[in-house]
Amino acid sequence: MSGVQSRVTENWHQLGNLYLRKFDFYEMAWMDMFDMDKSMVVPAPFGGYIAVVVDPNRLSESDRELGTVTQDKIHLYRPTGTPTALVKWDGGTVAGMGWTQNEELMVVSETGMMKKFDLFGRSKIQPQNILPQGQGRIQEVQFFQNRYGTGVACLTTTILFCYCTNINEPRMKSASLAALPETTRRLDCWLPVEILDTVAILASFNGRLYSLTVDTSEEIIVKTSCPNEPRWERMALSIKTESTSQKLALFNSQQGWLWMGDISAPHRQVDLEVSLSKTKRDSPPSQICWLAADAVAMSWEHTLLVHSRRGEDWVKYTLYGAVVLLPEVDGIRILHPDRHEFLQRVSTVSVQVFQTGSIAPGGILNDALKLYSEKEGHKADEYIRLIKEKSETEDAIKQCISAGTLEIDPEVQKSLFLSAAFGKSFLGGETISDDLIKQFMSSCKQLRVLNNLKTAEVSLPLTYVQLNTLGLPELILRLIRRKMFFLAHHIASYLEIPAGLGTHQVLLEWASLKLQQQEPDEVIAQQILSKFRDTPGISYSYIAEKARSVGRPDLATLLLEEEASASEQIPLLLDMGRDEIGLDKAISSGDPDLVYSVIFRLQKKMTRGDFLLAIRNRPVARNLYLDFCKKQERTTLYNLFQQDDMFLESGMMRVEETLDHEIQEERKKLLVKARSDFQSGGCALSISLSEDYIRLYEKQRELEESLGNRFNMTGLSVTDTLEKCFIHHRAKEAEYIRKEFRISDNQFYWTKIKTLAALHDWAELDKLARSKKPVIGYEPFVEVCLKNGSLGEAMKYCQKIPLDSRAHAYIKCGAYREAADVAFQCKEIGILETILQKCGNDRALTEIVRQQCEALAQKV
Amino acid sequence: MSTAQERPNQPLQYLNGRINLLQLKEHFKGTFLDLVSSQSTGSKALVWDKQLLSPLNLIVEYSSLRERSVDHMFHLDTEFVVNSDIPCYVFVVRDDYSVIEMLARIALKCKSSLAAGSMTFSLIFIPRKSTVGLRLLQDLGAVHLFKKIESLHIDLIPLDSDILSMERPIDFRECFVEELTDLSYEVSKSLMTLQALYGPFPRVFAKGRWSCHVCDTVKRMIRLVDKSFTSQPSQIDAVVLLDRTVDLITPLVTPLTYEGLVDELFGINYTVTQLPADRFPEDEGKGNKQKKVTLNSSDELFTDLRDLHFASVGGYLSRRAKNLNVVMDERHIAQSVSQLRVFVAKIPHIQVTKRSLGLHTTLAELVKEVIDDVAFSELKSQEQKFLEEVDHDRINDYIEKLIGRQGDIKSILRLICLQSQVGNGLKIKVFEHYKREIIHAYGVQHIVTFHRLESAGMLRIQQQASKTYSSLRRSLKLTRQVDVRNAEDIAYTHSGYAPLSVRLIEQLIVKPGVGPISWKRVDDSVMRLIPGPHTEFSPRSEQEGVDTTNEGQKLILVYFIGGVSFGEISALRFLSQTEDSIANFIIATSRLNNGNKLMESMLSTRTS
Repeated sequence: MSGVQSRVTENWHQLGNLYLRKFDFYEMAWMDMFDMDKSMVVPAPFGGYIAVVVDPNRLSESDRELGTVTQDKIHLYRPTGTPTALVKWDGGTVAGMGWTQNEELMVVSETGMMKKFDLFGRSKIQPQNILPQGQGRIQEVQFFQNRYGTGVACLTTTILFCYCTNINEPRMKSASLAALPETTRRLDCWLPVEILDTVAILASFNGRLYSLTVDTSEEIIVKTSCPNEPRWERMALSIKTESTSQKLALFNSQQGWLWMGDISAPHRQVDLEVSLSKTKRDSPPSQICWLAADAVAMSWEHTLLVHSRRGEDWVKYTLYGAVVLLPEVDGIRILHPDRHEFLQRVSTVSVQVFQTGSIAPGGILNDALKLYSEKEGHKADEYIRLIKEKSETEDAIKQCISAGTLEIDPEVQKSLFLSAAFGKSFLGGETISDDLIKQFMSSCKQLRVLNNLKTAEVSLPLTYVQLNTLGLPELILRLIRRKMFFLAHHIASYLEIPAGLGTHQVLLEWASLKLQQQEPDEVIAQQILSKFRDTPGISYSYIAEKARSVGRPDLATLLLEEEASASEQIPLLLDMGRDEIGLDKAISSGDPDLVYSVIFRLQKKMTRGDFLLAIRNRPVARNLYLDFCKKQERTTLYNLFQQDDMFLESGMMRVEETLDHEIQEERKKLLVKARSDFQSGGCALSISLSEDYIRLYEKQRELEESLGNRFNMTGLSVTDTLEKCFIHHRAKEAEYIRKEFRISDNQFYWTKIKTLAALHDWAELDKLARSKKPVIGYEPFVEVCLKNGSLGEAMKYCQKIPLDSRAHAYIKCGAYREAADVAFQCKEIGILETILQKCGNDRALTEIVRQQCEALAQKV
Repeated sequence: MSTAQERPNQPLQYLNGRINLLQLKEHFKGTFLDLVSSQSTGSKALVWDKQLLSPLNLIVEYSSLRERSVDHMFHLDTEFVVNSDIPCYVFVVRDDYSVIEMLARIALKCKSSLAAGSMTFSLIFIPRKSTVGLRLLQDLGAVHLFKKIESLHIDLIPLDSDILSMERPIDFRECFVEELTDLSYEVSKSLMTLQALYGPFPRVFAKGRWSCHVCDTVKRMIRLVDKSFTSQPSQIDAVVLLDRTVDLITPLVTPLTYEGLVDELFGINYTVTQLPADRFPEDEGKGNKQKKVTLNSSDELFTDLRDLHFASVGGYLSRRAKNLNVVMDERHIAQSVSQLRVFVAKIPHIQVTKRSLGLHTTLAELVKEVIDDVAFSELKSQEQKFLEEVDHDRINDYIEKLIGRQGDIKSILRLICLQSQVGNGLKIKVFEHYKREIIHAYGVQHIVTFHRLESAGMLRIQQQASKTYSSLRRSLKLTRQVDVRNAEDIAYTHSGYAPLSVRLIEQLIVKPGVGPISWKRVDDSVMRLIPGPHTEFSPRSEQEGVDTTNEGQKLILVYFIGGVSFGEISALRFLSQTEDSIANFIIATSRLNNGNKLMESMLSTRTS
């Protein structure tokens, strides 16, 4: 463990107040496969593939003599230098190559043909011509990332720039340098650049800098103290990040003049917080690029020079041959013929932790663990105290975790996480925050993933910073592109990436590939479904749609069968013409809204007959449709009833509709129709009842007329009508109604006594009570008398009530004394008790009832 | 929601402890407020579908709407007029034919200003927008006039610490008569909402056709949600779904618990009952005929009273009154300053108790007046006779009398249905007699009412003599003698009748049995006699395993599709309060129902 620290710091090189370090990702397998000097080598950022093609311009005469050099093959290498695919190129001389954000290789020929290839060297789209007519050939090509995607910019032999911001929709724009004297046909250097919202071409010519767009050409004044106006032969832009502004570097070799500064867009002027350094050379560097935003690296044949942005300091590395530099967000990849190297600035936190004698809490903690493992317990304790006194334990742990993530060597990573874990045990009074635990866990997990990605098998060499710039979902996409489905799935679930961007996406892409295999539908469906089964929420319809689009509708149906989301499944089914299956699926989803949407679609699509047939045998759909018709399309409703022989429902609907009408005649019409429905349906009782009312309506009209038209009898029932007859002393009509409608004695008598009592016609009531024993008994007489305020009349009828139920009647009348006597007579002790409760303040009565109770109780 | 209307401001006390149904309320409130503020940042007016006022009142306060720049509130009715000074109107409505027509009319009137953008209309449908509704709006030419049309899925409203209800007005009819799937889908959705908040249910039991249908739908829905769904801890141990048709008897029988009676006699809607104001002297002079009283568990006294048999209510109230007097008298014996301080600290509580005692004493008097009447005891004794299978096979004199009187049709239908239920149908002569009599007395439209009752199985013509009710009555001990003042069995709730539905749950959950809770614990014969299929399943994935060894009382959600009565709720509460009880219950339902409300929904009415 003690060796770790020195192992880490021994390859640090000081650059002013910064440190640089360089380490190897891989030894390259391509060592003897081609000559880097004589090739165009274009690597993709974020540890992507490397495209290599012979560069005829760099071949010597002797090379040419050896044989015909053709650019008919572009080789794709993995970051380990292992060849992986071959691109067949038939476009003639290659003017330039580049990579899109989605890892597609773009190749542009001198004649302006642009082609796109995937990682397996397959052409993805038809070639496009990006060279405007009459502009000669393309000299140079540069690809660049901007807000619209990946763009391409070309310089033609006629000194015209043509560029577009998104190669997927190449609408080429042209920009030219109007100020360019006709005589000179040579630019010193140029770059596509995005300043604020505008994409422009930055071109250096004869010591001047221009910013060009389609319709503007503006000179940019570079403030420089260089005695002779320098011609800028090289320029580089730093990678845009959120934290730093974009930097520009310019270089002139004759003066050895390196200029660095901000591209500050508002004034379109270059700000001069520069550091200049004299690095005289005979020739401009073959490549220049930024190391993050801290320094600029330049490569010559045998030298790599890194110059700090903040002072006169520089570091020089010796090279053994040509290299290719690729700027990344946190450093520079250097591709040698034999190695894949990474050069980066040592981050502040790593310096804090590892620098000898560091007093940062992370450094102390790291040292403490070192001492502890060297059995220097008491010293370690002192160190820990030092942190604890300042309550910096949590900071110390965080620093160790951060430093750990930035290391590339697993041993070093481990030692730092051990330090962090060691620190955790001393948190004591301070509680461990959830964030800290999360940070610890997720950093560990991500490092584990990174270390695995780096293995030669996967060969996706990323740093922690790069991974987080790229984003986890994008990582999954990259693995998918490499067809490493198993690993992608594993990582997605290990890092708990949201399913839609993680595991689901992996499975769907895997399945899409499966679809293209020439196996029987059932076999493929089986393979896909067996993988999907354990993944709830995955979109079966997505893959079914894919199957349909590759011309396998039967496979699509098989897959769609499993789609749990009916709302996704159904539109596709309907599109495929599987209407009835769609309807069934909607029904089984339980979602009435979905059923309606299918119903309405089918209604438009099918003939009326087919439509009705389709819903007839599906009660759920039929009931919903009937309900809709009931509310909004009454005519259709009755048609449906008619066609399906739903007589009972039809009759019921009409009967209920009568209530909507205030005019008797309308009600009658409806009822006549209802009756005929009931007749067709054979509902005997309903027929007779509706007939009753049809006849009643007629009788009511007669009555209305004879009573003078002031009487509106609409809505009155048979009994109500009878009541009206009594009220208006129409005995004859009352008798008619009784007979005609076979009114029960119960109703007849009740109606009659109610009316008589209401009219206070006590004599007539009495007559009725005497005429013959009423079927309803005498209790109703008591009730109606009481209701109409005649206690005397009520008491009269109480006496007529049979003894066993007379007590209750007396109670109703409030005649407790009488009630008690009757109850006593009948030996109803329960009733006596009820009466006792009601006696209230009547002491005499209470006494009597109590005595009666006791007497009864004794008898029992 | 209306500014004028008195709001029950005090938050509900969610006493259950085991689960916080307030979380559901907060969830709805949050979604609602977010949706409202997303309509426009500036000043806006809300226009309410009147039917949504009561439920939304329980979810969101006016003050929090004010914070979201809701400066005006209107009711959506025929008198509503758009004020051109208000730039943004948000309509909060149900997906209902007449409401949409009204909306379209209003929007078309403001067509020009809406098109010019000087005013915007947006639309929030509760609980959701439907294909049918949008189609209608389109047919009426108004759909494009609304800037946004959205759904807000508020389904189950927490009415109390253990009660969730959708309060759908014709819940029973749409399900069991019209056979529409809307309700069962809403139930399924609500179960998903509950699972999202309270973790997946370890076990779901269902009895009845629609309940089983809901299980199928929920299974499907679970397939669509993320895996993480099943990894949450479960707060609810099991769910029992019951179709109302499993027990059509209980809603027909008048309950005798305090809350049950208040509901039967005065009606409780969204926890609010309306009482005659003249009985509350302190309210005199306010000029209202009705006094609105909120009844929920935030009223400590009511919490104690609600489930008591009414016979015990008087005694309980007087004991509490005496207690209160004792506490009040403490002020005389309080001598030291510290004693006095203790007393002063009690004062707010004393005042609340005093007010509550006053309220419930009056309310109990009001109830007593009705039930002391001979008419009520006659009704109760008739119910009891039917339940005990006395004279249930012939035309009943008491029913005849009620028809003769032309009393409330709903209570007559209740009895007829009860007679049919206990006799497994009515003899054809009896049936036809009742039908003819009712239709002669109340009008021809009741052909439809009868048809509906028959479709739902509440009323039947006896096909062949069967002993379904008798057997169930025997094996589930549906009727038994009880001491209502000293309840030992759920039969106290209906003075000697134990709700069949709750008996079934008792058998399933509470009955001491071997092994995990399962329908297998219920007698085979019982399961056969109760109509409808049954099923059970586990929404947690299999490998998680079902934790049946949960210590202590289990928390069971009982979901009634088609309504539940207060009698049943009291019975369930009783089950969880018995000494050796192993379960606590939360009740969810499509509607808090009683026999009258149920019958009301079956009556034939205007169709447009």
